[in-house]
Amino acid sequence: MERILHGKEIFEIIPFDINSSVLFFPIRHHSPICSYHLLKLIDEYKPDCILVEGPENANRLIPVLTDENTVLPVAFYYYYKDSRKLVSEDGEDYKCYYPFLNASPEYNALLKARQMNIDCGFIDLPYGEILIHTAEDKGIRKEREIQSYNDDYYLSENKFFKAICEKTGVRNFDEFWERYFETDSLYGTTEDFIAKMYTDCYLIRENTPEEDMIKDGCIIREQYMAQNILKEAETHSKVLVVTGGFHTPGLYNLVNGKNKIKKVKVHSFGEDIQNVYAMSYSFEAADALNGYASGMQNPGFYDNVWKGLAECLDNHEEPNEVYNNVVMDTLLKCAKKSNKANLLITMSDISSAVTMYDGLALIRDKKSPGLYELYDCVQSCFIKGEVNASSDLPIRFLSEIATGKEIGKLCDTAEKIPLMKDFEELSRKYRLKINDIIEQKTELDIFAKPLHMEISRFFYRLNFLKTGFAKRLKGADLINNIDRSRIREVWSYKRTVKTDSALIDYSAYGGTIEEVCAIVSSRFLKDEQKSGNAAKLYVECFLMGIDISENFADKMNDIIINDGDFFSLGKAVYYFNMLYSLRKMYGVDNSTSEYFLTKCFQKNIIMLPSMINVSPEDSAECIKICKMLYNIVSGDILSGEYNTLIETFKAMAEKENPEPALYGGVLGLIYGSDVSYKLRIENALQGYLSGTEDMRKNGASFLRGLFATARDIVLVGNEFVNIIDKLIKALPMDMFIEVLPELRLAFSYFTPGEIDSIAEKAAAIYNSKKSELMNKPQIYDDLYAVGAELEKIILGQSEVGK
Amino acid sequence: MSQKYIKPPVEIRYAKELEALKANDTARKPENWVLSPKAVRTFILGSKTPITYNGEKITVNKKFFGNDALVERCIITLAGSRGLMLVGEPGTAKTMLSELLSAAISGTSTNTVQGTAGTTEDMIKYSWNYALLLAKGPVKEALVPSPLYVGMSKGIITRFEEITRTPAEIQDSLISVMSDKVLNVPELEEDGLIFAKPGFNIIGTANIRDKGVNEMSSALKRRFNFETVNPVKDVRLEKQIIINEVEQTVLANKIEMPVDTDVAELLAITYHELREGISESGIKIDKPSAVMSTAEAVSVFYQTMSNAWYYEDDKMSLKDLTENLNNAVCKDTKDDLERLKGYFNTVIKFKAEKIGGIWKEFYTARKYLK
Ligand SMILES: Nc1ncnc2c1ncn2[C@@H]1O[C@H](COP(=O)(O)OP(=O)(O)O)[C@@H](O)[C@H]1O
Ligand SMILES: [Mg+2]
Repeated sequence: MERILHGKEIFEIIPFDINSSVLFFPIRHHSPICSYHLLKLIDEYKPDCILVEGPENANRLIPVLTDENTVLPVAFYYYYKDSRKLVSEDGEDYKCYYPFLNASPEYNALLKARQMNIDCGFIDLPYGEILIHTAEDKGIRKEREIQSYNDDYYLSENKFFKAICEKTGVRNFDEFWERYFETDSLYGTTEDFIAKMYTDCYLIRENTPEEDMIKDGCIIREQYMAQNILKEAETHSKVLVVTGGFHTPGLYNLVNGKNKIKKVKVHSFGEDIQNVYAMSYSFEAADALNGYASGMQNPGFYDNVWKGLAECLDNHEEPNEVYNNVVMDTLLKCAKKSNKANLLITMSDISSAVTMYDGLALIRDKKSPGLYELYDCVQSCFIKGEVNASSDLPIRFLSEIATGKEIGKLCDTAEKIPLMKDFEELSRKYRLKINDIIEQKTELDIFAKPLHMEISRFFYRLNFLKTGFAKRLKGADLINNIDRSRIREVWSYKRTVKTDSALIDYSAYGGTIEEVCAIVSSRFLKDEQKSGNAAKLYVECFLMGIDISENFADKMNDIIINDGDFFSLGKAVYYFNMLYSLRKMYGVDNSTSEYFLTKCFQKNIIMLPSMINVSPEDSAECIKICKMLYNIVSGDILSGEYNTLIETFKAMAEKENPEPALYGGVLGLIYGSDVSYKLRIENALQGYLSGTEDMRKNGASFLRGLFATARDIVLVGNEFVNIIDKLIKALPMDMFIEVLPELRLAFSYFTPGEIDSIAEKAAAIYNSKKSELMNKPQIYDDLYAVGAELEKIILGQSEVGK
Repeated sequence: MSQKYIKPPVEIRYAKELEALKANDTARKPENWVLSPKAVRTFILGSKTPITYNGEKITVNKKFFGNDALVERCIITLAGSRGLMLVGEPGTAKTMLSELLSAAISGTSTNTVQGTAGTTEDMIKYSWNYALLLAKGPVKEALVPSPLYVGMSKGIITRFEEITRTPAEIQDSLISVMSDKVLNVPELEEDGLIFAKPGFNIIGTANIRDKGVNEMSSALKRRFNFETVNPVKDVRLEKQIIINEVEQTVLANKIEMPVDTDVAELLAITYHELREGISESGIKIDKPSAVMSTAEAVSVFYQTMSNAWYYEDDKMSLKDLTENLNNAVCKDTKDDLERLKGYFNTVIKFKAEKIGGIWKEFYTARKYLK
């Protein structure tokens, strides 16, 4: 490895000549040491043009990125909508981030160019074009939660580096990187650093099959970049090219004619297909990207390192103390935070930690301690006892501090996407603290204050757009029918990177949040076929204060007419009934919901009789719908349908082979309007009793359905308890165990008070007292099993005895 | 687990390596250390290239696997003013690591206090030779030094094994020693203050699975840096440990047959899966409650191997292996036997069908589980 890291012969393969017209500077994303030597090199090389790896369609954003009033982290957010199916047959939407931190060499290159007033620009293919040239599941098309343009998996996932990590005993690539580049190269010359980078990147490239580089789009991107470099070289005398180190050997060969350049043509797409915006970003988000091999972890720590290095550059000082200072500073912050959490970190702990990181740097041949020594010393000296999830707080604090909390801010002159502008203006109007990194809470009195109602709708709208912005902590939950009559809402909210990117995503749909919500709803409805889902959308629109009733009425009508799904229609009845009954409370006219409610209801009733043979898994849902229909006709709306519904239930009860639970449920509902059905119910239960074993088993299901709709049948008189007793007694042991869960479920419909009174009746059958029945010690299944075993043996022996 | 085989102390086992390292050690040493911190590191974690000593090339092998950073932290801790406390499950090489550290730093690994419920203060500090005491009165000669006393007066490391098994108030007698680096023997009057020489430090080990442990007082905890030693996570490393350890023991016990690396791998995988509760192919395993440590795996392997050497014709039998595994796993509760059977009937069965070979033999041997 020594040979690999300190060989100057690399310059025979990729020359490094400060006088050449094109010079390549290899980098790793977000790396302070790369920025440090980059700026030193720019001073020496004095380029008149700086080219940076990055999709060229972001060139117009460079002035915003490098504006004095822009605060990093900032990210470029690219989207490409594959409606023309150029990437794949699926015609999907794609998006990715390109984050910039203060320590990012790409950023420093562009900033320096602005300060020097020289030309600069991005040279890579536009985002959509990269996608088009990338094979499925490779490169930028890898399946990832967050997609980043910066790829350093070439470095971090390389077999060659993995082997080095294992050999040198470092824990991961990042630790290796810090040891051999970040800290070590601070003390050498820029040329040494470049030699080291060239060498490693050359070796990695040698170890990467050409085929892989074609599949992930690397080769074609390099051809395009080389094309751009040569174009700029025509009009400039010294071009500095700043790219990921992996590309350096490839670009060198192309630019110097060692490999031929094939011209790459690009499509011209409108904004509806592809665009890029600048957005504020956070260290937290940048750190999360780390899991996707997109630069260094714990960016906050390295941001502080970079600040120290930049100061040294400005003052022409040696950077010897930078790491020591940042490490010490971070350690003290961690101690402070731990003490605030009552972990009692003493001066002695801190001085022991300092000894530890210095000692570790020494034993590890590091010129300065760094992030990993910091983690080591906190673990050894701040955690008293075993390290586990409950004791590792100091480590977690350190990780938070080293990740960094700051969020970026774009300068005022940055173009604002109208949708983002709307979001910010409304937030201002509603006095929402959207630039705070801490989650905020707000209480809304939605009926008393019109503004509060507006805010509530604002939150619902943002959630509808999947911004993850707000969470309703308290208040009516109309979708799930919980706390429906609450008149106050409590919300928490926090603007995150996800909020911004979602808004950018939807920006193609319209200029205001309201408008976009309306369009997205109507699109949703356009493709929807289930009335239940469509009705749910109605509720959502109601919550969002989006008036869709008129435009959507025809479409909704069609959906209901064509919907043959009983359960979906039941869901629709539920939602429309909810909307209808809320009309007074919210003071809105909802004649449409009444209309649709009636329509869905009627369809539901027509389909009802055929449901009696529903599969057992669906019976509970079916009973729920029957019960809901019954409740609706018992109220004021649709009371005219009461008799029709009962007649339908009666017709159901006459059908052959009913599903037992549903049968019980339906009989229970009829019993509610016609007590004479009690006899019918008792007969039905007797029927289950005297039938085959399977029939008896069904008796338990029947009870479950019955209790779901008519609990009181057990509570009046004693006959019912007697019948149940017979049913249970008639069951053989193993079958009893089998139906036990079903029985338990059936009795769960009763309140504790009711259970008491049932127990009393049951006890009376056996001339015993309720208290004895309820307080018997539990007999465990095992014991039962042993008893049964014993019985078998004894019976078996007596057989033999005969 | 009882050690059924003999092993010489670390400093003798690796005498040559230690000498070679010492001869080539040019780095700065803390006072009274035999080796520099870097050389201690090399002794425990191995060196890539052999070192030359007396014209001989000596390879320093890696001895502790799976966490280099932990070893480095241990070394730095011992060079400072705090003690080192190694905590973890049984069989994670806490004792081994503390021996290696002591041998490399102080030249001896045997200056040890064994913590038990019966450990008393005089076993930690000092006691008297009563005959001499009666004859001469309280003089230094009559004093019987404890390992701690020896450590302080010679400037070497004192190992304190299973410290949490000793009663808390006994543990606490260490506090003043560690904070002031002074041991007071009031009976000796003006001679009674023993100052610790540089180089003195304490390595404690504690088992977090121990029932009836005596939690250390926070005052004592503050005198230590803690290191949690976890079981090795990587099956390849575990296999390597089994092979290394068994090779050493086999050598010491004059068993002249080569270590069967396939069986070592099989055993490493078995232990790994039973410990993690999930198989390589993702089958959930009901974990035994017994500790599935690497140390146990080594012992199971060695027993099987010595059996093959003494009673069979040098071929390790999977029947023996299975029986030894059975004995090692199913000593606490009956349930563990069921769990082990369950493991054979799912995971091993699967491997027997998929991979065949010794896994098939292993699966057939399930009938010896009882
Ligand atoms: N990480 C490891 N590296 C090397 N050997 C190990 C490791 N983990 C376990 N072992 C093996 O297990 C044995 C551990 O025994 P021991 O040191 O007595 O453990 P502990 O004191 O933690 O109970 C060692 O002698 C070695 O054979
Ligand atoms: Mg031990």
